[in-house]
Amino acid sequence: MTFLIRFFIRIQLKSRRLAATALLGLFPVAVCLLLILIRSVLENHDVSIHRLYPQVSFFLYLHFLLPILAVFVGSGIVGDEAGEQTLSYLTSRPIPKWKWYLAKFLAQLMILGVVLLISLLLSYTLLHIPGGIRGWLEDLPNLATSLGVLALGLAAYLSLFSLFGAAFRKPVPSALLFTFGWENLVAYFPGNAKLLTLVHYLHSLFPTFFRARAQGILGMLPFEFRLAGEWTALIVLILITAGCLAGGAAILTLREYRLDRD
Amino acid sequence: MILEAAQLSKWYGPVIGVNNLSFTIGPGVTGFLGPNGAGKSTLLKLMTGQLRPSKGTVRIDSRPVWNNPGINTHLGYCPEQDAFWRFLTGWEFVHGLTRMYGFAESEACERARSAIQTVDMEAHAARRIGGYSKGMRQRIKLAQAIAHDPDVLFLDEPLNGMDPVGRRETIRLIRGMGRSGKTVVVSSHILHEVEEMTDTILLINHGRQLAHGNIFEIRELIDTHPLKVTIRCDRVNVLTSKLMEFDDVLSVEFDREKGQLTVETNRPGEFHKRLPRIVLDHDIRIHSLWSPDENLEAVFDYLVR
Repeated sequence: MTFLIRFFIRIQLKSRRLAATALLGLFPVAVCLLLILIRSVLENHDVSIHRLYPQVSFFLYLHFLLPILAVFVGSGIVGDEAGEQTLSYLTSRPIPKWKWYLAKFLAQLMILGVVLLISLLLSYTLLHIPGGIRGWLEDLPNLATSLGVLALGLAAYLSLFSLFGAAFRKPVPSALLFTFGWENLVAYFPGNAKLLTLVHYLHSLFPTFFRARAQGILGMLPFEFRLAGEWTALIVLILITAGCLAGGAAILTLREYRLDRD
Repeated sequence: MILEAAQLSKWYGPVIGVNNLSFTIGPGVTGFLGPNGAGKSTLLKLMTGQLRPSKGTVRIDSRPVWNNPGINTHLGYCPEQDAFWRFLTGWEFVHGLTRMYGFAESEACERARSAIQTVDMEAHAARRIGGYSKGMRQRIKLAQAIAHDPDVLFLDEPLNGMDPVGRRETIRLIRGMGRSGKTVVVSSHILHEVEEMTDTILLINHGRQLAHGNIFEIRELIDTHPLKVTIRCDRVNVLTSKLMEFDDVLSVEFDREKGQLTVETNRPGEFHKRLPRIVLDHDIRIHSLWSPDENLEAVFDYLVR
């Protein structure tokens, strides 16, 4: 298993997709840089820029970078091998399909985790430059919370979209629809429909950030908006990840992939 | 190892890939022969467990191949498609795939090195596959299929894009593996390629099995189909007149300048038995004798028609 993970990490590190992933990872950093520049213009208005960190981590990371990376990378775990027709090399080895599926998932999780970590650290540092080292240190618990939630969210989204990749011939459109359609829409619905979204549980792990960011929206809702308990959210996310991985592996094992037809 | 297909069919919706094939293949080289789209690659994918049969079974030493990764320990597969992780080097590609057979690092290195050497790619192993020529890609693909020394080797159009030297070396390698007792299955739509590798063929077209066996035996089965035999000898006129006396001889064309005649007969077996007696009785010296119809091309043309 360790060798398989290393093999897939090597492939990913050499692929062009890594450059695209790194560029995407730099997008929130660029936004933070822009905020710093704006702050320097608005110096007299006493803007405490580090207070924007919850919004940045919530909006730019949880709602943008995390799902978009997961969509493109997760759906490619099986999709790329089938599309590039390299699947036949993997399926002609004496290893169960679930094993390389899991190994590739873990390899992608590690790579994306590092990209997210570096990007979030850079954004955090940029936003805390005005506060100096003391401000940087004081806000570390928030950084740790956001890192933990993003790591969990990454595992859940990645496993879900790798399931899409195993099940559908063209998984990206449906994954994008799920992420930016269903998730954003239903998360704010009354009733239990939001239980069928991942963001609901991620919001529940991010209660302070969620309320800080969504205060305006929540105030306008004609009903009381309830989050899940933190432990419940944690357990559900772990179960979703495990379930999606098991589902993806089962589909991969049972489904036949026609690479071409003569 | 013995490969068995029993009433094997594969269809893609309304399209038939292969249709009700039954055969057994033992050690040695067997050629899967047929035109493009005949179903050769589908058949190889079924035999390597890449595809699930719609009907029937494929077994290797009595074990089913679909969803049975354990059996892959004994199999090597060189797919037809020109597919790679192109940013890997040739070495990383062969070594990585060899490691997946469960070999320890040192053994995987040794096997990968040996396989790369066998296909004459040592000089290019450190380069990225994306920069290889088509022939080099074919060779590195072959290396990953043979590195673990499989008992059964499936090669799908292995000579595609190879230069003449590469072709010769690969043909020699395939024949050598067949002679060493391995079961080698080679698919090709180029008749003379298969003919150079083996006399045992499975002829398929439109997913159907047309013939299976030794090329000469198959030719004998087609006994109603006229056979042409070309003979170079010193007394062309005498031989021509003697042969014309038999009613199975349909025609004789002779070329005195070349000292050659071509006989067409509809009972090849009788013709071959009779010829030595005529030659001895009339003191005719034969320089060469061959049948332009006995190559794969002729058999294939006849069976497909």
